[in-house]
Amino acid sequence: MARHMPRADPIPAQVLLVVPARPEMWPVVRMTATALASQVDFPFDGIEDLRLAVTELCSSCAFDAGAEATCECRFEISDSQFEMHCQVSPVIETQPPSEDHPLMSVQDLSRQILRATVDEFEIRPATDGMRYGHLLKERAPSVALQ
Amino acid sequence: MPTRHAPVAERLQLYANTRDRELRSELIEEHLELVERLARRFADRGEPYDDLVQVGSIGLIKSVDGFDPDLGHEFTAYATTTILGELKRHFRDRGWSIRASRRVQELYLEIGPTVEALTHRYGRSPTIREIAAEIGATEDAVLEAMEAGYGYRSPSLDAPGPEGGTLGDRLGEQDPNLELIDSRVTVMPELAALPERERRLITMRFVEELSQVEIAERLGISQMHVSRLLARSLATLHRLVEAPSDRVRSNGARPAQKRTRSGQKQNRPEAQTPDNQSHSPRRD
Repeated sequence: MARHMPRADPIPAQVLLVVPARPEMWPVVRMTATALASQVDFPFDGIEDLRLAVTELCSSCAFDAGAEATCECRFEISDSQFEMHCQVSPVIETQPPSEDHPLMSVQDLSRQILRATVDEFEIRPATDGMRYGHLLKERAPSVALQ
Repeated sequence: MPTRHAPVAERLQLYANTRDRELRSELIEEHLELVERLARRFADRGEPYDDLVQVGSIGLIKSVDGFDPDLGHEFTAYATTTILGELKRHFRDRGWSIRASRRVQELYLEIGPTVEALTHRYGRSPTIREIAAEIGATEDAVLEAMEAGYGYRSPSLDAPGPEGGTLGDRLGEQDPNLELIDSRVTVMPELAALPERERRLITMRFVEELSQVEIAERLGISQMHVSRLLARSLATLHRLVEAPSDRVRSNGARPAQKRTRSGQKQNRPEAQTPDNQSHSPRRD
């Protein structure tokens, strides 16, 4: 069975990416995220999951964001996990969102998708004109499938 | 027997025990909204929405058939995982129709079989580095191809026809065999999961018993095109019909755990959302 060989080049512990909070920017975020995950040898399936999850997190955080809003993504990677913090501002505050607010529907679906694709996530209600989200995915151990 | 008014969990338990087909259809129908919402998440990637709903419906059927209530998991979490898996597989398996360079297209087409081969070889999902080495490309190129692969699509009834409109439009508005279709649906409820236009194409061939050539003449397309469309619709039907035998049990879901904000680990399917998400309405 093939083993993961350690890379000669050290990986950065943190990467910061700031993009306009618009859907056409999500591919940029996805590419960055998957490139970093690849650096620590995330498996193909895990990267496919991350691709979905990163998009969901960004979309959810950017809901109701103004045209001038920015999305600040901080990626933290280690040998065992990938972590992403997402902060979008300014956003229109509806705090706390009522059950029938469109955001609830959007985030409810995002949660379903995130629950299925990452190990840990959080989407906070907007406060002070900013919405924060976070996800964490652990790298599956490089062991043979049963 | 519980009716629609009974809790979903109760009816899922009953279905697990009885495998009652009427109850199965009822449960599938009630959760189609989840499929539609998940399908919309993929709607900007070049695939017709109806096709995505169709693919997602297969995942839903597998979910209903494979769900094991005794494990105590939440059905919607299990179904979401299964439906997403089906949609991802669909995108992974289908053909191209986007503005990607030929090099990227060719590379992407190599990734699927390579992943399959390496998974078989290593007994686990391969890394991007391993895929790149196997193909003889750079990791960046593989990642680029994977990203570009988000936009591809397969031949569809929604594709423009040779004389304008779509092939789906040519299938007409009225179908004298709708009642017959309905009776077939009773026999094969999976047929109901197909978009109406694909159902009608199948009806033309297998109910009206028109030949492929006759259908081709009626639609003004080539017989080969009819053949491809039928093959695709039938392949979907096969997957639907075979879904029960897949036995995707809910205990087959990934056993990964997640933490609440307090740091406590819980089993994924039952994991409660953090405090700030507790206002999320439960689906069942």
